This record gives sequence, structure tokens and C-alpha cells, in this order.
Amino acid sequence: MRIFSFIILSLAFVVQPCIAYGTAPEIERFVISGTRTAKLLSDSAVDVNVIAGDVLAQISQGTVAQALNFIPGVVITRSSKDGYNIQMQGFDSDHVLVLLDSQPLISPSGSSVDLDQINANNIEQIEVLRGASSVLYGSSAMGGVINIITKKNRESGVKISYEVSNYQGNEIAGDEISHLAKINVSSTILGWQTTADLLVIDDAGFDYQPETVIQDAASLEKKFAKLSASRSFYNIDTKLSYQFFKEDKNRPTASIPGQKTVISYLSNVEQQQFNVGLVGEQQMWKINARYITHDESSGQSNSTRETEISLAEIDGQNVWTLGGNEIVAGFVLHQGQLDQIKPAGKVIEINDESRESAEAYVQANWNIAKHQVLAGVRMQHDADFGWHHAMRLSGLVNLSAASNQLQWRMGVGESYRVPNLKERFYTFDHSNLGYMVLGNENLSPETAISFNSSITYNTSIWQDSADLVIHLNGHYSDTDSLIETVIDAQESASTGLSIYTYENIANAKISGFDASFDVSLNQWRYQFNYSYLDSENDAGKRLTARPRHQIKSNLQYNFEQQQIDIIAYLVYQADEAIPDDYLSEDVNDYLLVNMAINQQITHSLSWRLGVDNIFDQHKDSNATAKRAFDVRPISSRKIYAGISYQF
Amino acid sequence: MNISNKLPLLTLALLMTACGGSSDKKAEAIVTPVVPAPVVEETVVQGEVLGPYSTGSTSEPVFVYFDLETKAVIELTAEEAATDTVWDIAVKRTGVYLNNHADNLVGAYDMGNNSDFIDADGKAIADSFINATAETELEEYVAISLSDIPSDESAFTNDISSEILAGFYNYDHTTHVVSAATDKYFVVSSDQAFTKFRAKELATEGRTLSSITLGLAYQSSSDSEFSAEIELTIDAALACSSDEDIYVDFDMQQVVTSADSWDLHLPCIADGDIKGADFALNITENAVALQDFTNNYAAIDPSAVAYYGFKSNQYMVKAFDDTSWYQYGLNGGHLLWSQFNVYLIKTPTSVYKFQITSYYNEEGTSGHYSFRADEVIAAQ
Repeated sequence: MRIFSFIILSLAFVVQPCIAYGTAPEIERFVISGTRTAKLLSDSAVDVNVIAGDVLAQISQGTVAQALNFIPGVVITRSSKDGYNIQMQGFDSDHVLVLLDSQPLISPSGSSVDLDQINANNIEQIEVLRGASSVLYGSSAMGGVINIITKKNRESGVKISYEVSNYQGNEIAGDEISHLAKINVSSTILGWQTTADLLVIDDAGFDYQPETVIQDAASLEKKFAKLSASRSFYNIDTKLSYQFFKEDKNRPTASIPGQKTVISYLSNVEQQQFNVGLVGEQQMWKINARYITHDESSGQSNSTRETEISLAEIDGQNVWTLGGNEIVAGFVLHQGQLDQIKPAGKVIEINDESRESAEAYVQANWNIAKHQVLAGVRMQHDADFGWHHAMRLSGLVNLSAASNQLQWRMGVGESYRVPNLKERFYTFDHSNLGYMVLGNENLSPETAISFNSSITYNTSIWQDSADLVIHLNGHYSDTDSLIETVIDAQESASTGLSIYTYENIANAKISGFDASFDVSLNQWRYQFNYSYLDSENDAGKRLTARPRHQIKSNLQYNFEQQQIDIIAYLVYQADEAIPDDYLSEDVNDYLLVNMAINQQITHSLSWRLGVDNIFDQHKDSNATAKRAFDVRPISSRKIYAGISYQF
Repeated sequence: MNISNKLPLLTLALLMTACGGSSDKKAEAIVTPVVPAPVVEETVVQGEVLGPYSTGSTSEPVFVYFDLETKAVIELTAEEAATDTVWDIAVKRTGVYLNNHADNLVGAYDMGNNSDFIDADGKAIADSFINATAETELEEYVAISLSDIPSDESAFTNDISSEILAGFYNYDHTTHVVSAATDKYFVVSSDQAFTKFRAKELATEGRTLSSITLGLAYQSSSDSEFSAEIELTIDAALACSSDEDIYVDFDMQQVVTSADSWDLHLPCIADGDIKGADFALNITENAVALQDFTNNYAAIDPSAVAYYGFKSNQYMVKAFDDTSWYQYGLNGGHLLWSQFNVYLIKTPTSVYKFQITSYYNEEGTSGHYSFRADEVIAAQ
């Protein structure tokens, strides 16, 4: 209660009565994700949802995990590795592609990305493509694509930020305060525009039951660094960049049975990325090369795994314009490598295996009167499974006489996910407990055919004093050859163990709809989104870990005179299918409410204050042991305050 | 210090005091009395936790052989252990083994002291397992005494080595006639197929098997059930006349040579001048089999094959197979908790109590056993 009083008092102190003078119309944004070329949002034949970087900056100064939970229709889940993954349109994180400046991020498992390893720094906007997007982005873009676009042209200067936070009510004794420090430098040196961004997060973690040795969220330390330089030579933009990421986590998870010591979940990650890029005049062509290494030692302290991943990739694209029409064609050459061992038993789980692929795509965009048609195809040749392809057809129909007032977008397309190196080569040996899980080199890509249709209606209401946008979106996906572990009868018979292997065996049908509206009135803005999801596997059962209902809503207010922005937003999710191995259903819905205040005091100085998960909704830490189903997240009320100064 | 240890010392001190106070000369004159040896009431301390002893890794498991009398690990290879009579109990990963050598036949009896860790539905009560420690379970362990040893020797179970294809013939102990056990079916899994077979007829000559007719029903990987039974008659006397053992390939359903991909082996023996097959059947090394003595299976479901209980040619039925000493994955992870049951281990010379306290070392590495092992004595 004292916290709320403090927030209200703070508000009262800084806010003075003000009068709104008219509505500041929102400038329509350019998006690039739908066609890989810059287009006005209203001209995109593909339904793209855009979240502005300045709104995201109000929500999170650290990683994008918190910021993405703001996005309608997106489900953020906490992973067993104390990270965060994403779900879209019923597809889990292995089937949603997360891009940073249109390039896929990598993860140790080969597919799903830990959102808590992505710096939320300098985000221009996040673009969300719903539905099959493999034509432009290849593997894993089945449920959709999240494209994090960073700011390109920054003013010279230095910005320093510092934030403290506290998991109020769930603190770990002796380590109650978390810290976040950030330095952003931008300068022009010898004609090169250079930037250096450093971010350090020291998170204390939290614990619901201090009397037990088990903690609920790891104490962790993250370091992000990015150095970049760009310059134009003969109208060709040259860009060089280097990124470094280091993470250390430690979370006590169990007392060792029969011993007085404790097992902890440990994770030590070090990732480096080198990028070289060339961009032609007016961005008509571009080519980029990158090399990423990811070294990780993670797992329970009694059986950690050491994983080494490397990725080398060259991609390029060219744009041709013919009248109002446009053709985009590009290629990707990819080489990935994975080595995984368990040092304790000297067990090789994945023996330095690699995968090579070559991909090419072409997409044409026709303008027909005020309508648009988009058609594309992608071919991929993989060293393991040979050829694979995907096609997509999309269209935009302007239904109203007034410009862009009523628009209908639809798309039908194929998507796929190539089997990752773990699914192909893994050896998980628990033979002493009667089972093993083995990779399968003969896997083929998972596939889906998806249909999306959306209606967008823009209008002015209340005598033109407010803008209203209504958006309805329906989707249906029929997935095939999904990879799951199944028992291998013959191997089991011959070894006397239960031998599980990865097989292309499962199918599922996923459907749903999203309904949203967005009202802007003077300094007010209110957004509401409801998402409904249904799913069914071969056996007619709902897929687990997917909420049937989701509501995301936010209210924003801008005190123009004081330059204060307030945002309050909530996430409500309900009705997940309960897996068979649970004995009871304890909680199957939850509501998270968050609030943040930001003020630009002077041109140089700003401060912020916020509370995440105000009502401290979280999973009962005994639920797993009791095999009771509790859908609430591993989360905690978090109070934070920060300050930034720009030189 | 225990008072029983103090008494002799006090007695000795009193005696010495009684002797004191005299002059040295007097002392020299007095014959020193013989002090009777103090009677020490022996107290046996039980319950010490031994170990941890490493049983290697999952990929490279090793046996730990233990002699209960000396409370010591005996370093042996598996081959040496098969003929060794010193070790009593052994562990390898989650398996607990008893010596079944004829000269050191060891049996086990589960005291069931923590049977309440399992609920009425047979499910493990997680809190009971997780909260149990070596300290909380010490008292019950120490309290077990001679009076707890079951008087019925059959209560103790031994590790028994068995052959999966045993039972294909009947022996009449009165008439000494051997006949085919036509109702005893066996299912063999080999070469990605299943074969259900039985002995339909057999003939003997001397102490050898001179001929045998097998009934074979085959289920290939593309079949959903066993085919109709066909007969394969083997003239064992003829086949063994060349001193070559007999081999049968189930895929081809005919006799083959040892160089071929065989499934069933009939060893040849000689009874004087009579040559024929031994009364034994073996399956090939990579094959497994089950006994279907109730003729229950018309088909084998390949997806559920791990649950039928297929076994290799020679297999061990361990005493500890009937009573799992642990539970796995109670907190959703990959940990294993002891039930802290106390087992009475009976050797030819004594009875010991045995309680596994941990499967881990201090770092949490699995396969490291700690346990208590003490001879059962009278209640103290």
C-alpha cells in the first residue's frame, strides 16, 4: 500500500493541471517486415502490427522479454532455463522466428530464442507478422515473425542510465536490490558514424519461500556490448558491428537426496557476433555476412552440459521496381555447428555436428488500382534433407472510398521448420533409469499451411476529436510432420530399455481470432485486444501450454507540459489444456497489471518509476511437487526507479 | 562417556586408593593382589553411513562389490565376482545385486518400515521421500534387532539366474519320460520381427534330444499379427552327427549354419556314442524373448514392445527387482530419492541390516551410493 501512496504522491508532485490543445495525430509508420522493403503500414499487403520503440522504452530498459509481453496476441512463457520464450497464433517458440534487424537470432537448442538474451536498447520499433512467413524468412517462421528494428541514425552524444529494482515481498535475504546500468555513446570519427552501447544487469532473483533452499528465479548477471561503425563510400553504406553477450545464472533448485548440499541450476553463456554489411543506393540491394559463436555451460550443477554453437551466414537481396510494382529476390547461405558434452560423465551428446543450407526467395508485389497482390516462393536446399520449398499469396483490398478507411488483408501460405541439430543427433542417456532419447538423422522439415484474414477499420469519432482503429484477424493453420519423441519399438526390444527417438509424426490444427480497438483522444490512448485460440492434435486433444483466452489492454497518458508519460497495461490469460500427468487443476487463469511513469525533466535529464506485476501473481512453488496445475507464471512484483542523463 | 565404561575405572581407582597410604617398605612387603580383569559391557555403535561408493557413469557403469562382514569394498571384475564367495551385496547404478554363488547364497528381506511413503493407490508421497534423511531414519534402523528376523527362511529372496527359453519340455519324474510342453509358447524379438514358437513334438535317445518339431508363427515388421503356425522338424541326431551345433533362422523358418544370421541355437552333446541336441534352447545375442505360457499374445504391438518384459537369453531375477528402493523424478527433475527401507541381508553365516541413504555424492553426482550396513544383534 505504501508503494501506491508513494507513486501517487510522486505524481501529485510533478503533475500540474494542464489543458489539452488538440490531438497530436500519430505519424503513420513505415514497416519493412512484410516485403523486406520499407512501406507505409497502410500500404503493406501483409498484416503487420507495430509497437513503437518509445513505448517499449517506457516498459523495459533491460531485455525485450518484458517489452514483448506488451504486444497483443503474443504469449510470453518462462522457460525451464529461467529464460523467456514466445508463442504466436498457437505456435510455440520453436515455430516463431525472432529477428533482430531482419536477421534470425540463434539459440542453444537450435530453434527457440531466449528473449531475455536480447538487449532492448535503441529499439526503433518492433514489427509483428502473424502467420506463415517462411517465404521471406525461411525456417521456423510458422506462427509468425517478431522483427526488432533498431535505430539507425543517432545523434552524437553520451547517455548514461541507471536503474534499481526490488522484487517486493519475494526478496532473497541479503541480496534485495537489483541494478541496471547502461551507457550509450554515439560519435562521428574520421567520417565513420560510430556507436558503443553497454548494458549491465545485476538481477537479485526472487524466492517465494525463504525457509526452503529452493529459489524461484535465478540471481543473474548479464553484460551486453555492441560496437558499430558505418560510413558511406560511393553511395554504398558500409556497416561493421561487433556484439558481445555474457550471462551468469545461479538458482538453487533442490537439496541433494541423502546429502546436506544443494543442487543449483547454473548457466554461463558467452556469445559473440561479427557483422559486415553493404547497402546500395536507396537500399535497392544489400548484402550482409555474419559469424556468431555461442558457448554455454548450463544445467543442474550435478550434470551440466557444455555446448558450443557457431553460425556463419551470408545473405543478400535486390529490389527491382517496375512502375508501381516491385520484385524482391534474395539468398541465404548458412552453416551451423553444434557440439555438446556432459563433462561429468565424459558423455558426448552431440558430436560436433553441422548443417549447411542454401536458400533463395523471390516475392513480387503488384499494385492493381488501390489494391495489392503479393506472391512469393522460397527454395531451400539442405545438406541433410535435400530440397524444400514454401509459397505464399497475400492480398490487400481497400474496401472504402476514403483512403485506407476499411482494408481487408488476407494470405494463404506454406511454412516450415527444419529439424535442428539436437533433434537429428542428440544422445540423452538415462539408461540406468530405463530410457534413452536419441536423435534421428532422417528427419524432414515440419510443415504447415496457414490462412490469415484481417479487417482494419480507421475512423474518427466523437466529432473528430478522437481516432479509432478496429482490427479483426482470423487464422487457421494445418500443421503436418511435427517432430516429437516416440518410442522406438525395435530398439527398445533389442536393448531392453525404453528408447525414444525424434520422428516426424504429429499433426495439429490451430485456429483462432484476435479482436482489437485503439482509441486516441488528446493525450489519452487506450488499446484493447482479445485473442481466442483453439487447437487439436491427431487424437482430438487440445495442445497444452496455450491459453484459449488472452486479453491485453493498456492505457497511456501524456502530460504534455510536464513531459510525463504514464502507461498502465494488463495481461490476462486463461484456460490452458491440462496435461495428463497433473493430478488436479489449481489455477487456470491469471492477471498481470503493470504501470510505469517516465518524465523528461530537461533535455538531458529523465527519470522513471514503475511497478511490474502489481498484485504479485505467481505460481505456487509447491504446485509442481504436488502435480497440481497452476498456470500462473514464475514472476514477482517488481518496483523499479531509474534515471538517465544525456550529455 | 557411558557409565558402564566408568565402572571398571572407578573400581580400579578405589582399589588403588585402598593400597595407598602405606609406606613404601610396607608396600614392598605386601603381595600385590591380582586385580580381576574388568568386565566391560560392550556397546555396539550401529548406523554409521558408509560411502559414497561410485558405480561409474551411465555410459560406463561399474559394480561395487561389498563384504558385509568386514564392511569393505572388494575389488573384483564381473568375471571374478561370478566365482567369488567373499562379497555379499553389490550395486551398479540403480541395481542392487546379491551373491548367488552356491557357497555364499545371499537372500534379502524387505522390512517395509517405510511402506507408508506410498499411498493406497501405489503412488509415491513426494513429501515423505523428500523430507526423509539419514538422520530421521536412523532410529528405526538402529531399533531393528534379532527378534525382527523372520523365522521362515523362505521370506528371504535370492537373485536367481534363469534362461528365458526354459520350460519347452516336460519331464515326468516318475516315468522319466520327456515330452514337448506344447502349451508353453515363447515369443522372440529379433531382426526387427517377432516369432512365436513352441515345441510340438520331441524324441529322445539316451540323454540327448534326437528330434524336435517346432511350431513357428512369424510377425514381420509390416504384419499386425502372427501368421498361422508352421512346423519345422529338426533331426537333431543327424544334425549333431557332424559335431556342429544346430542353428535356426526364424525369418527363413529353416535350419541354417552358424555362419548365417541365426536366431535359435540348439547345442549338441554326446551321451556315449549317441549324439543329439542338449535339452536347452538359446537365442542369439541381440535377440530378446518372453514366455507366453498362457498363449496370450496373438500379436505384438511394436510401439509397446518395451512394456512386454522381453528378456535376454540368460537373465537375472534380482531380489531387489520386487522392491524398488527408490523413487525418481518426484519434484519434476531428474533426482532419485531413497525410501530408506531397511533390508535384512542373510548370508550363510549371519544376518545384516542394510539401508541405502543416498544415490549421490556431495556434489550431487549420481551413482554414488551411501548406505548403512550392520550385523543384526540383540536389542540394546
